[in-house]
Amino acid sequence: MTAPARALCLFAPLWLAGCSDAPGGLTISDAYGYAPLAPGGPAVAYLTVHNGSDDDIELHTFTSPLFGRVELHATTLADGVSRMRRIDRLRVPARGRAVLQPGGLHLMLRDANGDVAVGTRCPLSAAHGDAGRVEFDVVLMARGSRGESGGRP
Amino acid sequence: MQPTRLLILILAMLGAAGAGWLLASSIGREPALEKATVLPEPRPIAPFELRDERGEPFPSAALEGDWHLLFFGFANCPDICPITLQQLAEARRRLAERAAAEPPQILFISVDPERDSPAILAAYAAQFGSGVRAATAAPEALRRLAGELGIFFRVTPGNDAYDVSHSAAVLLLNRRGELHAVFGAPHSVDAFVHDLPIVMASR
Repeated sequence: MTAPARALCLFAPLWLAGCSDAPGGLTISDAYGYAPLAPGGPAVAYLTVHNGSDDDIELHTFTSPLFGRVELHATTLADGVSRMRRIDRLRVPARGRAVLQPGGLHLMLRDANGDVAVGTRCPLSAAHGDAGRVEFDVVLMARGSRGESGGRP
Repeated sequence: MQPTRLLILILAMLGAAGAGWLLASSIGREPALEKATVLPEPRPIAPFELRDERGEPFPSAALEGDWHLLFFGFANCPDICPITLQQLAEARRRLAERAAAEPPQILFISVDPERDSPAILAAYAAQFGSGVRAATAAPEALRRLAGELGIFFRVTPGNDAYDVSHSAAVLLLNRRGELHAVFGAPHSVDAFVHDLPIVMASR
């Protein structure tokens, strides 16, 4: 956890209440991840962010104590070619949601700091506009744990 | 000939012609395929040599005798590559349960030999169960093979965290090691399970 986030937790009990609720009407649901497939490889996390407020919200500057780099990427498929595009800010529309799911938006977790094997609970955090940070965590699973394609049923 | 008999004769001839047309058009008709595109004729591939997960040579001749599903990607791909391999592994598992015929082997070809060492490839392939192998080759050999198979890939230079764009198609090679059919992305386990028995039985 970064120092600012730690400070916010100290002075803002709301953040301590739960990992999925944050001020500003943000809720995180269905957050899950997959452990690296090979030593040194990336882990990945997917989640849905719900915005119950009347203002668009942007999440950015994703971090985790377990990984040196947490980056938001979009998988694109055009003309049969798959590409990844790094995205700096995740826009969650007012009264709407943003979905990170296989084949689309995903958090790429790189440069593991320690044990990130299957079963590891990985804390994640994102800056919430200018309003602080939202915290959540994912369990890093083995591929195939969520059904045949590894995606949503 | 009386008009009535002439009419009957004409109708009979039309009927015979119609029946003949129906018969001709139904011969060779196969169930519709969901996603596979079968080549009009299987395309031979020039001999090539990969390096497998043990660091051993993997010649193209080793592909003969079995059907193979090929997918090109790289081990540092967090999303589309594992998803596709998981789909292929699941499809293979479902086809094996049917036990009608030996399901295709799956071969993951890394277009990132710089980072994907044999140890990495071995660990990667092992995540997807039996029937999945991984291999790579020197950049020039990869270019040749990919070009022959209509596969595009590009390594985007950068720092150590460079990205690779690549075709997401899955290629089906027949028992003679020829390119037989192509599955375009996005992929579906159901489509693989539906199409593969039809395609593999047709020749």
